[in-house]
Amino acid sequence: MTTFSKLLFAGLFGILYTAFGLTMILSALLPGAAEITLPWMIPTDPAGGFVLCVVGTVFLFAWQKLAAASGDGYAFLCMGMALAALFGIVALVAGLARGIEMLVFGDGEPWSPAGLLVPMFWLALVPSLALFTWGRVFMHDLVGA
Amino acid sequence: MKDRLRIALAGNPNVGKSTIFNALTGSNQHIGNWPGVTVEKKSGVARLGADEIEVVDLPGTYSLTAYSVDEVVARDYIIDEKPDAVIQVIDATNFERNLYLSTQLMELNVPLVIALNMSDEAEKNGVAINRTLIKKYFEIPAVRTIGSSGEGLDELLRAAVSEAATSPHHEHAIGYGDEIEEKIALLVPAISRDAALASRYPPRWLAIRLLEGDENARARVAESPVRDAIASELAKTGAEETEAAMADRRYEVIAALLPQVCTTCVRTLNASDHIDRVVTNRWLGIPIFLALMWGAFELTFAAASPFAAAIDAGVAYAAAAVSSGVQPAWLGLLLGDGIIGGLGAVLIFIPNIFILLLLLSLLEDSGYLARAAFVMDRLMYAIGLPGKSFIPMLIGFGCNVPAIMATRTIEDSNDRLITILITPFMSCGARLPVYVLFAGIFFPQNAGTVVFALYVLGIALAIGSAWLMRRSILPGKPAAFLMEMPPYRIPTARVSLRHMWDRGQMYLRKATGVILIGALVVWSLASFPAGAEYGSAESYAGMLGHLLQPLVAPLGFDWKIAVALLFGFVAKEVVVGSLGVLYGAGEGSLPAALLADPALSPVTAFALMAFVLIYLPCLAALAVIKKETGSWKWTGFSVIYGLVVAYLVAFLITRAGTVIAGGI
Repeated sequence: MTTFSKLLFAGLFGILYTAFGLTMILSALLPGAAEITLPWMIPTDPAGGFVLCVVGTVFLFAWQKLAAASGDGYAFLCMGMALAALFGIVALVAGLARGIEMLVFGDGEPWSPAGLLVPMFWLALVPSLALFTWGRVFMHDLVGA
Repeated sequence: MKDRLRIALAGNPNVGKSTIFNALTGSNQHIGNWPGVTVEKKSGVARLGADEIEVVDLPGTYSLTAYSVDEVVARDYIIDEKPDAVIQVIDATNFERNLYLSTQLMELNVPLVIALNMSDEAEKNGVAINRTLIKKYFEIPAVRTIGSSGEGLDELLRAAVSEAATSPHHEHAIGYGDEIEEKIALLVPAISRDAALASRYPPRWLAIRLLEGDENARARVAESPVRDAIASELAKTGAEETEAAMADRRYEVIAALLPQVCTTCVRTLNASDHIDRVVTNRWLGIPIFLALMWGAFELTFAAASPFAAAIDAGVAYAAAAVSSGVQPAWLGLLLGDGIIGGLGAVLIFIPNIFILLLLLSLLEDSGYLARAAFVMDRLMYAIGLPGKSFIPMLIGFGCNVPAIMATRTIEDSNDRLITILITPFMSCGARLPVYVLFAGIFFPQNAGTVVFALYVLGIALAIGSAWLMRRSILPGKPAAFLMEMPPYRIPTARVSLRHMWDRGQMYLRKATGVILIGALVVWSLASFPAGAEYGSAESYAGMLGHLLQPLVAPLGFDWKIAVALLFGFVAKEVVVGSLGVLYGAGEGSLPAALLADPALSPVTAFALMAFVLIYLPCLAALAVIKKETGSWKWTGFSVIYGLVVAYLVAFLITRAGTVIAGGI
């Protein structure tokens, strides 16, 4: 993977995560905003939005440091992917648990499999795959940086 | 004649002493991937062939200067109890830093063996330590050990037994230069004139400690008949300059010997260092910590919900069957409403508690929580506390009792007292049932976020209180925070699950002890006097509740909540158990009963959760506060301060919430 690809990857996911995070926060804070965001399956969840912003900021730091040819850029990129994967798993487990509670015990909020498709989950798919595929290379680069 | 040898395990914090102790003695002492887990000495028995050896695990200490309580515990044991041998456990990946303590142990003239622990990790990093040369230059045997697998431990015990049998033991002396040596030479004869003192403490060691201005050592000579002679010699020296000069000299000795015994002890950046660049980043450190904590609470709430629903269904079925099926009727009600209803209301939350404890164990075992303390240091220092204070606060997420005990690692007495007083604001596992119950009912869409907010509120109140105390009743300047970062490790399922179980079983024991008794007491109060309707205003519980209600009415709480809060003083889980009894949860679901209560709304529910978070340390935590502060005054202060802050915060939430919700 070339430095340009890493730069592109870090920049793209930095912007995506930050944009979706801010949208989730604003949809909770601004009256009427939820009516626009909910049909796009963006929940009104300020805490979840904050988490997306944190992951996005780590990617943006990676982009900035890679652009400056700093060795730390690899570390930030690696950690950005790891955090994205971690919170993707959190979103998946939380969604599945709510589904099981609803389907098996009839408790909780109405649920459908589409409820799993929150930004925290689907945004994490590519970084998780990247971590799985390129993780060893990144780790090698990281230690050797 | 002594029955068996006594061997003490000493060493810097987080070098694997407790791991070696557990492996040697078969104990189950808690091990954490951060410094300061052991704050008291623990003993166990190891076997070497047919012989039994008593092994004592001492708290970790960077030196024998004894500035903090745990250092005093370690040093006093070595000096006063005189173990037959001391094993200094050294983290072989960080050999140089561990040698400072070695120089001080050598001066104590105790039979000493070095355990080069985590040798596998050190060798993986390219560190090569020559044990033959350690023996040659330090005159101390060194053994290669891997505590986690038990490798080298038999050899270590044999070496310690062999050293214990070496008598008389050779003396290790570091030369401190002409000026200091002259002062030592004047003090040693003065100390030696008191035969009792000289037989108890090596005179040269005591002279060095006195010259370094060690208050603990000065207290030891205060009763001696030669105290005046010693005092007159000490009056001629400046302790601070001497202490610094002596420390410099020890580092010089280490610097001279290190290249002889370890040719590749130069640290290179590894993956842990690179990860630290991100998670301890000045701008990202705290947001990443908050994000990870949110993830832990989101998982705690969501992943536990199917299990909790299953237990809830089982409890409701059992309670209904027992209430209606057991005769006489009063016994059926006692078992159904009292025991199953009260206890079941608490047992429902076992999945939440175990999942949270597992996630905290994973964060701790990975080494991340030590970084959390580091990233909070800047904030802690700004409010007037050392970053070290954040470690007990983090331990408080599990249980406040060990957290308060963990403050022993804090050197300054005012820093330590403030940390003891603010630690009860950290949300322990016992409060989780209350949060999960009310957040699940009144904030179903954002329950995880609400629970997270309560944990953050606890941290904010602790920090705010520390700021207030520092600027009023406990002034002072915080000590600088020096902490060695443990390497990141992938937590093993076996260790993390064991940590979860060790902490979680305390909750189970409480469920069958104090919570059961609490439920029975509340049920009795709700059932009597004879003829009164169960849980009505005419019952004793109703009378007690109505007596308390004027106090809590401004917070929006009714008499049932007042009774539950009163009994929650014993243990916070009793709040839920009491509500289960008072709302007759045995006859149906407690959440449904609470939701149907017109006195409760999302605002009052949040105010109640905040009140439970803040209002009082539990009985066990109060006992530890008394023990650790040694003062009824500060114990009483902790109770009153908690109650006042809880009342104010709950009142503000109720008022603000009512205004926001468009009420009065």
